[in-house]
Amino acid sequence: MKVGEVKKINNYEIFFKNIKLKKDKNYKSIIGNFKITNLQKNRIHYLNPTIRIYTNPETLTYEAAIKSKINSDLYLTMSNVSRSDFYNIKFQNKPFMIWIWISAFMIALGGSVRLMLKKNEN
Amino acid sequence: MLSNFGSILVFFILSLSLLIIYNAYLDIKTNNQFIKKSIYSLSLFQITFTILSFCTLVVGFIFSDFSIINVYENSHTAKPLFYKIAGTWGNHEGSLLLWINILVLFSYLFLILNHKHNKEFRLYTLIFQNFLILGFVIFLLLNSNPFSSIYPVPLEGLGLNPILQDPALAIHPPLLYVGFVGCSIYFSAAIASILSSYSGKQFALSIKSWIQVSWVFQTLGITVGSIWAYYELGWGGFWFWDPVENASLLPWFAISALMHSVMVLEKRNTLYEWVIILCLLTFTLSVTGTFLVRSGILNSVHTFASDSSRGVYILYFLSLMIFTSLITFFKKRKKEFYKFNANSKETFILANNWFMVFFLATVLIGTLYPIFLDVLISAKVSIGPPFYNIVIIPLVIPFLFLMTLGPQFSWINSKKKSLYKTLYVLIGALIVNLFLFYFFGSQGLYSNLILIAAIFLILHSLLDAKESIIKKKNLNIQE
Repeated sequence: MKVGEVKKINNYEIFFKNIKLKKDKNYKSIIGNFKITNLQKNRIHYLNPTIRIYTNPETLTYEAAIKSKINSDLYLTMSNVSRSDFYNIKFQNKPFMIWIWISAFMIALGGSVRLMLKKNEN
Repeated sequence: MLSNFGSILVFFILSLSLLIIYNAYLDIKTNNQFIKKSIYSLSLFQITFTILSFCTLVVGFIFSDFSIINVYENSHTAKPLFYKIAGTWGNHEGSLLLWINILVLFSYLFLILNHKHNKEFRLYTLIFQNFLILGFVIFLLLNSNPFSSIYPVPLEGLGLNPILQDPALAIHPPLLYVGFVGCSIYFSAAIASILSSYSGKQFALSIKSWIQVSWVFQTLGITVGSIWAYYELGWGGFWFWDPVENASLLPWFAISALMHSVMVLEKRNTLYEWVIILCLLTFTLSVTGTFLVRSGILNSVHTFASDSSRGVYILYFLSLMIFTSLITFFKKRKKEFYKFNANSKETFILANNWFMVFFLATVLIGTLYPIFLDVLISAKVSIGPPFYNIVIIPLVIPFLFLMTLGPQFSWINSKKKSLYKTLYVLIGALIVNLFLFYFFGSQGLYSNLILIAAIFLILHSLLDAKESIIKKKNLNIQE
């Protein structure tokens, strides 16, 4: 996609508003500004995926922009196509992602609760 | 400067290990009831020097002392302070030093926290733990010394791989290391318990909390790793059945099985041999994972500049570990007879263990098969999600059902007291599934069965939790 373009995927409309450049301590970043509209429910989300340019060692990393909701995650990554104004966009709507993390943390919590209870009994 | 200081500290750790082994061995022979004071102070020195050596490396990273090769290769002055510190364990040498730190820390804590236990058992544990420390310290000195110096001193470092410069990845290695290296203490304790013919129940009591601690840390470590993979690697997944991920999952299965069967050992004083085997297996798998990753056999983000000589050393050490532990085990084993009632808690825990071992075997084969095939007939295959989905999913269903039923039974022999409640919950789960089926449509038989089993488990656990909280409250009121 190019800056200013609009694409429709299933129930979502993706609008590539603009890009910003930012300088951090040891990298520069290109921040994309996307407006995602859920056409069914008429909800608007803003996502900012980032490309970071590290200088030492010279590497690009792609930070995904994720909007976590109770029943699904909106997941957007952006990478540049070399020598052009185009960007590769990957957009996914992943159901129930946050519950995977919650359940894994609950498993660990269960273990620690068990440990604490045993300590108190002694 | 720092590099010399660090190297000297590592030499101190090495010699202290030898001294501890020697003194502990002498102390076992005496009839004294208590452990000699000198062993405590030697251990205290050891832990102090170890932590000091790690701090030295951290200081080297913070102040970007590029006279140390390790800092030069993995740091840069422009890096934020947080990642300078995290960079300490973001490379092979530094993480090995962290590994040794945890070995020593657990060794020391196990020594001072287990007063109630038999002296011989504690000393043997200390000896074996120090053999492990010795093995890794020698490895560190031979070919991965984090304190090696470089001359002339470079002006600027090469920098840390940017994908590692991330908060989740900064805490991922320490969490995982506490989990994996923590297993070492009950590996040593298992051998010690065989050698000192320690009673199964006492052995179970002494290692139980250690198993839980390392289990919690392993779980957290793996979770943080997958969260990182989810938002940083950009392919939108969190678990790829990648060999390196599998390597971390293998000990987790073994330790989950161990955590349950150790309860049987504590309550019923049986399954002693099986618990020992699992103790040995868990740490062996941890080291195997390290071997696979560090030797460069598997390629991934975890392979810091791979070097075959490292692999060879770990392989020797691993074989030595496995052979020593197995020979001691088979020489000293006592025949055990098991007699369980089908309607007892221990049967269900055993069933849980079968499943865990099955999952473990599946993942182990899936991870190692491509490597063997590559060596034997140089064919490249990759085993991915389809294999695991086909093999594991059908078995998850009975596993989840048994997991729900297990806690309902009591030890030894239980009466059919509350099975009606379980039946109601099952019906509830079926109804919920029916709703899901109605609203979201069918996704195939397996997904429906898994949903039923999972909802059954969730509902039942919630109900049990509610009941036990009410029981606790009533008890408090009575008091």
